[in-house]
Amino acid sequence: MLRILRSAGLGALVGTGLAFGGGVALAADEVTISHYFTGELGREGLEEIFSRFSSETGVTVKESPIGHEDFKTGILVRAAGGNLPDIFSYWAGARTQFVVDAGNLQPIDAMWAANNLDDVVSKSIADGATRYNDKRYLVPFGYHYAGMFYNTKVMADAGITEMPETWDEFLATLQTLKDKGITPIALGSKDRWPAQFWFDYLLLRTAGPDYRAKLMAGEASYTDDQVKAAMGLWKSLTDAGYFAENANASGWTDASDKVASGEAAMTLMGTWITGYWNGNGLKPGVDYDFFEFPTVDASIPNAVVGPVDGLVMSAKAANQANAEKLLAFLVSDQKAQAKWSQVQGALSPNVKVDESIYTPVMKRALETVANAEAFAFNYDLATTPPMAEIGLSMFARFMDDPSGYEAYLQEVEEGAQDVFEK
Amino acid sequence: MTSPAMKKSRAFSPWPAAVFICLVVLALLFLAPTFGVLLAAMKSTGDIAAGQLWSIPTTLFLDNFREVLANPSVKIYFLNTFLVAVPGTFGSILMGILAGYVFAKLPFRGSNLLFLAIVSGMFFPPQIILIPLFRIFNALGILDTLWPLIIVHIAMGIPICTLLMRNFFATVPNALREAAILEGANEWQVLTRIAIPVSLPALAVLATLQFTWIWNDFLWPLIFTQSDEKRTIMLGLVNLNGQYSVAWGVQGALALMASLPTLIIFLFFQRFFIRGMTMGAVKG
Repeated sequence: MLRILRSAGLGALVGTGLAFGGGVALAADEVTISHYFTGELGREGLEEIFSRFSSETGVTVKESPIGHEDFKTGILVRAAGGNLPDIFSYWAGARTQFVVDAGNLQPIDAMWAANNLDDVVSKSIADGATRYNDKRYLVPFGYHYAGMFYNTKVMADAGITEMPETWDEFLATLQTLKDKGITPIALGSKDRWPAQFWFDYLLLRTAGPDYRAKLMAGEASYTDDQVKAAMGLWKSLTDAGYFAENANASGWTDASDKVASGEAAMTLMGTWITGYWNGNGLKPGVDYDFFEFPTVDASIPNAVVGPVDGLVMSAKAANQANAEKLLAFLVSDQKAQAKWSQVQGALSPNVKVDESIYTPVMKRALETVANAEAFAFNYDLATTPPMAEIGLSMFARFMDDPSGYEAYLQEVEEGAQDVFEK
Repeated sequence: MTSPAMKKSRAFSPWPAAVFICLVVLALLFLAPTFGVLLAAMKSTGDIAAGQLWSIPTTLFLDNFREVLANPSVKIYFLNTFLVAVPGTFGSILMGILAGYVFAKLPFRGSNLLFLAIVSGMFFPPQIILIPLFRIFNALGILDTLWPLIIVHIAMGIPICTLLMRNFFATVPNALREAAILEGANEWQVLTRIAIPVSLPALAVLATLQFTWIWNDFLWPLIFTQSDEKRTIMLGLVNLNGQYSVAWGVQGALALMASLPTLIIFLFFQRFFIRGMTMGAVKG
C-alpha cells in the first residue's frame, strides 16, 4: 500500500500521472533503457547490476538489448519515430554529437553536479567524451584503449626483450621478426574498422591531436601534407612486407588468432582483445602483452586512441527522475563499475574503482591512458558517420593496394567536401 | 515394353553421369556452409580460434546445445516467432486466395490495373516505409507487441500471394466454375469447394515460402519489438554476440535449431512444392 502511495506521488510529480491515473503512476517506478551490450557475459553482468539498482531504489529497469551493429539502425528509427527509451547506450564522439544536434538528448549538467561526478569520472574521459555544445550529455560507462598487442613468446624467441618506443626501434623490431620468418603485424580489416587504428595513430604521432581534431571536424583537408605523410609512413610498412598478406580477407578475431598461434607477432587492437584471448585460455602478461604505439616525432604530445561507451538520456524521457538515478548509479557505484569492467573487458571511467579487479595487462592499459596527454576517439567515432563510411572504405582499399594512396586521398577529400558542405 | 536384350544393347552414355557428378559437386558446395555451422556448433570457441573449424571433432562436444537449451529466452524467442509466423502465413494466404480468385475469375473494369498495383508492392524496399509504420504503430500503442509484425507480414505477403493464387486459379477451367454455378452453387461455394481443393499445390508453395520468410525475418522485429520477451529467434541469434565478443559455437547451435521448423515445413510440403512452383508460372 505504501508503495502504491509512493508510486502515485511520484507519478503526480512527473506531471502526467493525474491525467491517466494508476497506469502512469505505476510507470513512475520504472525506467526504460536500450543498449548494445549483448552476449552472454554482458547480459548477465547487466542483469546483476540492474537488479542491485532495483533493490536499492525500488525502480524497475525495463531493458531492450540489441546487437551492436543493428542497434545503430534500431535506435535511429526509434528517434525518428519519437519513441526513444529513457536511457540508451551510445558511442561518445561524433555519433553522440549527431543525436545532440538532432535535439534527441537532454543535458545532464544538474545530475552531474548533484552527484559530484567530477570527483568520480577520470578527467581525461570527462573532458573528451561527455560534453557537447558546452553542455554535458553523456555518462561514460566503460572505455577501451587501442595498443600494440603481441605474443610474448614470439617476441622472446626472436630475441626482442625491449619493446620499441621510437619509430626507428619499431622498424628494427619489425625487421628482426621478418628476418626470423615471422609475419610482424597481423591485421584483419575485413570489416574495415580494424585498419582505422593505424591511420589514427600515425596521424596523431606525426601531425598531433590538434590537427587530427580539425581533420575529423572537416576543418582540414585529406590532401594536406600531414595526411599524405601519415599515409606514406603506413605505405612504407606495407611495402617492406611487415603486414600479413590479404588483410581484407580476415576479421579482427582471425588476426588475433594469428598472433595467439605465433604465426604473427603483433596486432594493433583495442583492449577487448584481452577478453577474447582470455576466453580462449591465454594468460594476460604471460602469453600476451602490449606496448604503446611508438613515438614518431618526440615534440608531439602523446595521445591514446580508443572508444568510450556512454549512456545518454533522451530529450523526452518519460521517467526523468529515475533515469537520472540510474545514470548516476551506473557510473558512480563502484561494485557496478567493477562488475562491468570484468565482464566486458573494459576499463572503468570511475577513478575510485579498485585496481585489483584488472589483469596486469589491463592495469598497464589504465596507466597508459592516465599518463597520456590526450584521449582521442578512433576514426569512426571521431568523425561524422557519413565521413567515417568514406574514410573506412579508403583504409580497406589502401590495404588492398597501398600504391594509389594519393589518389585515394583525393577521392576522400571530394567526399569530405560533400559531407561537410565546404 | 522393353526386352532384356534391348536393355543390354543400350550404349553407355557419359552425359547423364557427367551431369550427375556436376549436381553432386554443386549439392556439396551448397551444403558446405551448413556443414560448417554444424561443425562449429560442436566445438568450443577456443578450438575454433585455434583454426580447428573444418576438422572433424574427435569428441562429441555438446555444451553449445546445452547452453542454448538452458537459456530461458530461447524458448520465448521460438514461441514468439511461431506466434508471428503462423498467423502471418495464414493471413497473407487467405488474402491472396480472395484477391487472386477475384482477379482470375471475376474480372471487372480496371481489375488488371489494380492487380498490377498490388503486385508492384513486391518491388519497393521495405526500408522506405520503416519510419511511417513505426509512427503509426507508436500512435496505436502497439509497439513492443507481436501485433505489428503480424500485420506487416500479412500486408507484405499480399502481393506474392495474390500473384501466385491468381495465376493458379487462371489454370482452373472456367467450365468447372460454370458447371457448379449451374448446379446452384454460389461464388463462395465455388471457391471453397472447387477452387481451393484443386489448388493445394499452390497453397503448399505459398505456405512454405511465407513461413520461411516470416520465420527468417530480421528487420521488422528489430524495429517493432523492444523488450527481450517480445524478440524473435533471428534477433536472439544476433544477440548471442557481444559488443566485442563472438559466440560461433553457441550461435551455430541456435542457428541449426532455428532452421528446423522451416526444414520441417518444407519436408512436409515438398511433394507439392516443385509442382506448384511450375504450375502457377506458365499461365500469366
